[in-house]
Amino acid sequence: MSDLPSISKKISKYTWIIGVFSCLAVLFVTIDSEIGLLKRQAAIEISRIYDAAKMEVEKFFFNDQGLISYLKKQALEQAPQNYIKWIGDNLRKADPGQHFSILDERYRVAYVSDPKDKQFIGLDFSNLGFIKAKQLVSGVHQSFFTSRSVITVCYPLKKGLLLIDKDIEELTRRLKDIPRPSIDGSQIFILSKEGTVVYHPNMTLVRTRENLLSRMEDCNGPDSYGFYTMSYDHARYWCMKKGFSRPKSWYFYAAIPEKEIIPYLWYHMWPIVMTIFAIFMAIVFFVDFIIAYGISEPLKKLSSWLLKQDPMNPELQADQCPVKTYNKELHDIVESVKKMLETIKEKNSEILKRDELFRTVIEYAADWAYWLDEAGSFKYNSMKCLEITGYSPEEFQKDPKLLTKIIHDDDRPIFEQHLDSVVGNKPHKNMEFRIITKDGRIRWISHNCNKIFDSSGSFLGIRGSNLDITEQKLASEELSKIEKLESLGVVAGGIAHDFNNLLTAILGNISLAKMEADPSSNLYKRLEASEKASIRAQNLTQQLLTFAKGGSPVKRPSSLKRIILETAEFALKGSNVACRFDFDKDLWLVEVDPGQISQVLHNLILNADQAMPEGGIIKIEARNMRVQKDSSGVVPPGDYVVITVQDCGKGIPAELLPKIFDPYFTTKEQGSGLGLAVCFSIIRKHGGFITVDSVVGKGSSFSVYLPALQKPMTIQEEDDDLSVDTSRGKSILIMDDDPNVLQLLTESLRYLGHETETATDGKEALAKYRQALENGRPFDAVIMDLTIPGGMGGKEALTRLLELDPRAKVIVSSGYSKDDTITNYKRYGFCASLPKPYKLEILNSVLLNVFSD
Amino acid sequence: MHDNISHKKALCITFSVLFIVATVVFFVARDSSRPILLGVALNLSGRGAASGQAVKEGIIVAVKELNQAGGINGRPIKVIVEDDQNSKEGVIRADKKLLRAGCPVIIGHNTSQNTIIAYPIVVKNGKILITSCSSSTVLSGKDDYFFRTSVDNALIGRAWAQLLKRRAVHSVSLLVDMSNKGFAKDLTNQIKRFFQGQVYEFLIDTKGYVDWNKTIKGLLYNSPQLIILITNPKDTAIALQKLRSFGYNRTVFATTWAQGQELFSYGGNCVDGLRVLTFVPPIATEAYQKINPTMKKYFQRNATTCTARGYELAMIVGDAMKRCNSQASEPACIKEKLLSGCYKILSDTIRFDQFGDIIRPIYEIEAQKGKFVVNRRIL
Repeated sequence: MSDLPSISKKISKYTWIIGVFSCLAVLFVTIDSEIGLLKRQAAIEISRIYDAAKMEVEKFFFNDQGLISYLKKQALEQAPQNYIKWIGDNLRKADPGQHFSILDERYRVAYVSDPKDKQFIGLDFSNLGFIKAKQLVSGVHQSFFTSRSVITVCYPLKKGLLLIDKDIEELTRRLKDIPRPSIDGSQIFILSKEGTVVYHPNMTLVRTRENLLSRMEDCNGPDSYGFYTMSYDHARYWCMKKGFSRPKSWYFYAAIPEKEIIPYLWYHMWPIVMTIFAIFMAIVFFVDFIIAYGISEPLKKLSSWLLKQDPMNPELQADQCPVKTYNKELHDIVESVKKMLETIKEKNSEILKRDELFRTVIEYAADWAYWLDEAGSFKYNSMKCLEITGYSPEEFQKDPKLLTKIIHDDDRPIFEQHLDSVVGNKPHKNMEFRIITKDGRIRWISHNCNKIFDSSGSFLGIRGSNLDITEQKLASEELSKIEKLESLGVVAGGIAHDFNNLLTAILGNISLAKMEADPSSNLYKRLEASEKASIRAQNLTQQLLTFAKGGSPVKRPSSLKRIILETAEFALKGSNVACRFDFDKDLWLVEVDPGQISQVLHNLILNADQAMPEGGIIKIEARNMRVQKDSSGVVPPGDYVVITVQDCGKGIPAELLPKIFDPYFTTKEQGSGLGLAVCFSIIRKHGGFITVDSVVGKGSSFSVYLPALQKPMTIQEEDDDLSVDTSRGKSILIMDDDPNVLQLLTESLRYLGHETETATDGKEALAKYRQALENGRPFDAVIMDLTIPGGMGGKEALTRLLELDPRAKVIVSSGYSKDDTITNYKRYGFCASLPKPYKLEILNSVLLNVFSD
Repeated sequence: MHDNISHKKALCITFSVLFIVATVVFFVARDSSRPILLGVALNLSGRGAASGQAVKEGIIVAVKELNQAGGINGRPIKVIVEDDQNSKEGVIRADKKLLRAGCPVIIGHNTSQNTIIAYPIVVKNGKILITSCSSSTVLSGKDDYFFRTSVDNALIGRAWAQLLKRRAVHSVSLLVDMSNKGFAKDLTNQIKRFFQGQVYEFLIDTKGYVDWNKTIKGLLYNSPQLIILITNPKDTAIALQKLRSFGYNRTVFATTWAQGQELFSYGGNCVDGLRVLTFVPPIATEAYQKINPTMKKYFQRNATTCTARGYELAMIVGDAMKRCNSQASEPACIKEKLLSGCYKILSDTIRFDQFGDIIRPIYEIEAQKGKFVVNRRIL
């Protein structure tokens, strides 16, 4: 575009062209009129010359006419035989230089003016052309007598013919003073009827009787001034031709060489030409100036202003156009441009807003949207692709096949089949596939696409949408695991409750029996073995209860460091595996059930130990970790303390990794298949996550994410020591539907120095408490079973009891140790909880806490 | 920007090429339109100039026809005419002037004497000298740049001898005009060479004063059986009138030299019965009629034998030049083409021998009522 000539240059160019052509036209007209004037003047001048020449020619040829007429008259008086002689003699006397001859009636020579020619008297001249033709004036010929170029003038006599030879060289001499046309090189000449030179300034032509007419070529004319144009000896001439009346058919010519006309005209016209040129130059300059400042400059300014304007610029001010116009048309153009700019600005603004809106919708959508054109190249690709795949839109633009390349090898055939279906207009559904991101991670994509057409039905390409569903996929897998555990928990919970009641009785009785037996006796040893077996059974039920709804952890602010150290030491006793710890210095606190977390760690460490039968090092780390919002994976954003247990064992094959948290899934011969399932369940109930990375042959790494505590709290460490001395002689009401438990608890409390009353359900318990209250010996504490089949349970009884005595101290006890009432007993109004089964030391500890409040 | 520079470069190259092509075309066109010069040196103002004038007109008519037919391969012929004034000085001056002008061919002169004068000047300069009016044997048998369309006097002499023998003539009187000595005296010698009878020769010089009465008396003194006038047309006419005035009524013969319009103009009725031994047939042939329209157009008169001779000569030269193509101005080429040519322009087919002399028929023609008719072909 920039190569195009500017309008100012164009206008200037055309102004100059028009100016030059106008100037040339005026010059042409002026020169033409000047040529006309020149021709008119030349014609007048030539006419004057012609008149003079004509007079001279007539005088030359016919000056004897009067004399001859006189002689002829006088000769009549002479004797007939003397007639010719008398005329001849007298003519000789009158004009001695004249060469003439007189022919008799038979045209024989009768008299000659030169005596030496007398021998020719008697010669017959009757065959002479002009005599035969009876012409009074001959053509130019060579004189019979003198051999000179002559014209013979004939005068008929009464008896004969007088022939006077006129030497035309003499005529040339006589006419030499005749003026010539004023233009240099001009010539005048006279030609006879035959075209032979009669007069010419070039004497040679006269002498040789040159026929000039034969040498004149391309003769055209005459024009309105009487001029012919002709060529003579390869030169062009203007020629004026005038005939003579006497001698008839002779012509006077005036020839002006064309090559002399231009210098002549220039000599006379240069002031006029220069003046015209100067005037036109001035006019053209003036017009150019007017056009430049009236049109070109404003247009130039408008153009340069417009070039600087960016219609995309919202700051565009059409009113600020700097062009000042002095004419209507330009003013209208400027106004139109301003209006146009305003319109463009408004439309642009609308388009930009709309574009921004659509872009925002697309770019902020979770979908990675794209548009493939008819050729399969990316016409549009949202920035989301970078976030999902790690590849930028430009990379996809550069390599349209990249979309297929990043698809997981296992899923690519399905995707290509899907794409073929779309292109081939076959039925197709949305699909899911995996992609390998730029950094090598696997992401799950939910894909849908369809062909798009414009309003006229023309195919525009394929619009696609890819949604990253990796998290949903993982969450779904997690949910699937939880659902499996929960279904297991429903069954296990019921069994565990009954088991716990039984174990409470067994453990209680064993504890009492041990007190009565001699510690050195075999009986004591057997009781202790029984107690250990019962405790293992209790642990199993605890694990089963973990899956049950009631298995909620009893959380309290805890230091993981101590739990990790104690658990690892306990788990690896007697093992050939060493442990290496690495903790952050200011490890954040967590609110956990120490027992459950210990259980998790115990399971993980045991697994790691078993993964390295020939020994090795287990690396246990605890780190503070802040998971950012934009991080991918199953762990949502937040602050976590991450415990990593890493072994360098044989590792877990990739195909088994999704199943390792399933209940009863085990690869060990003696494994229960509950270890990792319990870990998973405990951690999920703590609001945390557990992940695993494993490489076969290199080892496995389990990471436990536990939500960090937001506010600092003091840690209450457990004291499991039995203190029987702190508080004794208290009155305690026991409510339980199981008579074994009632009996065991009664005996245990008595052993601890307390008085007891029993009730089998809530009503009875309330009645006894009211009775004691009325008797002025209220109970110091009440231990209530949470669930009484067919009767009032602990929760309802507590409500009524507190109505009766708001100061009542009620301890809730249940085989559903994971029940929320046990875990969060205070929220329900209980002052402590006592999960079944429990040892005597635990019972004493709980009571001491209750009585010390 | 790059594109703009390339565009300017292309324009410059285009204009340069156009300029070069235009220059070459201009010079080639100028060269192709440059005229080929043809020199003509004739007697146009001296005594007997009328025949020179006629030859010149014939040449001009021929050149006009050649030029109208496209010239010499596109180049026009330009005729430069010089007057030799029928004098030695005039001949030398005229030929030198034509040589200076660069004429490769000079047509001239119209008498043997003048041609003999011109011969060394022209031929030694390597230019072609070609004539229609020189029969002198002095110029015969030479392989040079001299050509002629007139028959060699030796042949004419043989023809005269044959004619005289047939007419059983034993004595003949010759009026020999020594103003054209190269022809007249040479022819006299050739007649003497081949004729076995008595030959009386009476010499005159028409460039000076001629006492015609005395001349005729002398011519008739030996009562010859036959009189041959070796004179120009005008003097032949005078001689004829004088012979008749002296009562001589027998047949008089003349030569080709006498074949001019002045013979009839000044001869009056005495010309009738004059017989001429000539290689130029009468003008009433078809070929002559072709010349007449052009003659009338430019000169307002009919062609004469002299006109025809000029016309024929120019046509032969033009043909040779044409066949030279680009070497039309090269005398060597013109000579080669002249020697290889064969022409039928007037009435007979003629061609040059290796020495540039012509071989053509010789006729006996007779003047009857103002024009010649063919009596017989002698050779």
